[in-house]
Amino acid sequence: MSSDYYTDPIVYKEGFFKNPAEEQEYIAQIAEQTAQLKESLAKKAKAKTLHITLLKTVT
Amino acid sequence: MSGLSGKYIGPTKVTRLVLRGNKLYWAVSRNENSPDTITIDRQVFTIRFSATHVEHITENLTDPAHRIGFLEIVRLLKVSIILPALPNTQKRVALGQHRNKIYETYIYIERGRIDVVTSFACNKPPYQQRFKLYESYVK
Repeated sequence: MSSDYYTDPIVYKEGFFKNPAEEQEYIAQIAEQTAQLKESLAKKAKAKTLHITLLKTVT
Repeated sequence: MSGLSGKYIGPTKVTRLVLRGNKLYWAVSRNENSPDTITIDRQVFTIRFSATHVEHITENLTDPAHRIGFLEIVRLLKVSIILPALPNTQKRVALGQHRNKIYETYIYIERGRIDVVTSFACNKPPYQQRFKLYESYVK
């Protein structure tokens, strides 16, 4: 991620992150989690659609 | 997003002064329209601002990225998602939408209290994607 993104300096002062590198590491973790979440939600949606299709076929 | 349509009230409404230990806290005024509590997993948390953080938020109100007052931050937190805690701390980042902008709010959560440190417009794509995913899932 580019370091051009703005972060309020008080965030570092209050110890949320020691430095921008640590923040970027956390943001990378969040991005990874988001990708996983997206995948699992897509799987759930697909399963739901399949279930509805099967129900329609049965009835 | 309900609850975000209220007009700007500004820092003058922060009137309740609370002294805990050596620290001064300004709490948001209590009224029915803006109770300063939020519920997460059936646990009630009181939102408050320490005096130093109030000063910081007030000083930066003229900055376009920081144009968000106390009551707006409270309203924002009520419709925000709270990201996992930072390693070995109770410090967290909350993401919420206010006036078509996604804001990141930095908070401490402990013993039924949420201390707000700061809130500003988010321009980090991973945070924006996370919030948009949540929004699409809720809708």
